[in-house]
Amino acid sequence: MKTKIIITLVIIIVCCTLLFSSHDDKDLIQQQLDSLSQSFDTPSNNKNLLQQFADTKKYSVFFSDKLNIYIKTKNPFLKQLNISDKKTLRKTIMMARSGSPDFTIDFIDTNIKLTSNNQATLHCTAVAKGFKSNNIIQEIMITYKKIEGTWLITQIKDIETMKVNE
Amino acid sequence: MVTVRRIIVGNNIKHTFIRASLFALVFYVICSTFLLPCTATGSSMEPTYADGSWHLINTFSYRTAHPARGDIISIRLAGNRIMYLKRIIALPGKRLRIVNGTVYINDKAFDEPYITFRDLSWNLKEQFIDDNEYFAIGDNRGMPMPHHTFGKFDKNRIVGKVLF
Repeated sequence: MKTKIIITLVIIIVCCTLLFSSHDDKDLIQQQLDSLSQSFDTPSNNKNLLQQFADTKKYSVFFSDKLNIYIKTKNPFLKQLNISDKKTLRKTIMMARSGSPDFTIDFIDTNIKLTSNNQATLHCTAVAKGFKSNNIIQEIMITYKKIEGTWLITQIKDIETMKVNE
Repeated sequence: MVTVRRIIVGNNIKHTFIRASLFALVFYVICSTFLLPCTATGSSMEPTYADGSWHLINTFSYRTAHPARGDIISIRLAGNRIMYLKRIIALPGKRLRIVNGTVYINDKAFDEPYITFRDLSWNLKEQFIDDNEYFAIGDNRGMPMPHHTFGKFDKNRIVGKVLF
């Protein structure tokens, strides 16, 4: 009797695990995305972090030409920056969205679409953790280009899930 | 009692295994297709839904009917793992504005009995809802407007109706 109950429970647990587990795409782009989701050391800034993020979220626009990526924002701490490498890009995203040193960002529901042999887009939901109150959620679109065998980010764009006309 | 136990557990381990597998399969299909389990995170739907509460989303709700004003729905972002839970306030083709915390739809004040706290600093200029759009807001109007995610969204973003 005990064996039967244990077997039943094990099967139910396995199915529940399958149901609630994430379905990760295992390709180069996903690996790059995972590397982006690490936590980074950013300058500590305790001045009204949530408001700072709210302002940035509303106005930040990431765009690029080839490998020169820059950011425009109304955030008073980050007016405009020119970025030429991935490391600076990561730091800039973090700086733009937080002043918290324990800030992490997870990319969920990643949908990767190859538009051509050397171009791809990634549509996902970024979840920022590390704030005292709620997590911050933002739908984003990342454009990749394959240059000399490596997938490089060329554009990161915020997508407005729900919008109001200001 | 013995009969009930025999039906549930069975006398044969093979049969028990098959029954458990079938049960797990049915459970998996139900929970991944038309009854999505979810957890509410955050305070934007308080007091209706508390932070951390569990809910079920019926993805078949709007196969035969259109979303109605007052329905609590789930709105997908890039996929179904992270969704917004919000209440539909305005339907396609309507005009909406917020004046001192009160919602006006087509210039008529909208009665919202589910709201407990109302921040009178909520003001929003008139929004026109297109034919393929809906407008949704959370029930917690006591929180500051800049910290509350709300607005118009495309109807194909609706995943389903929240059952409870």
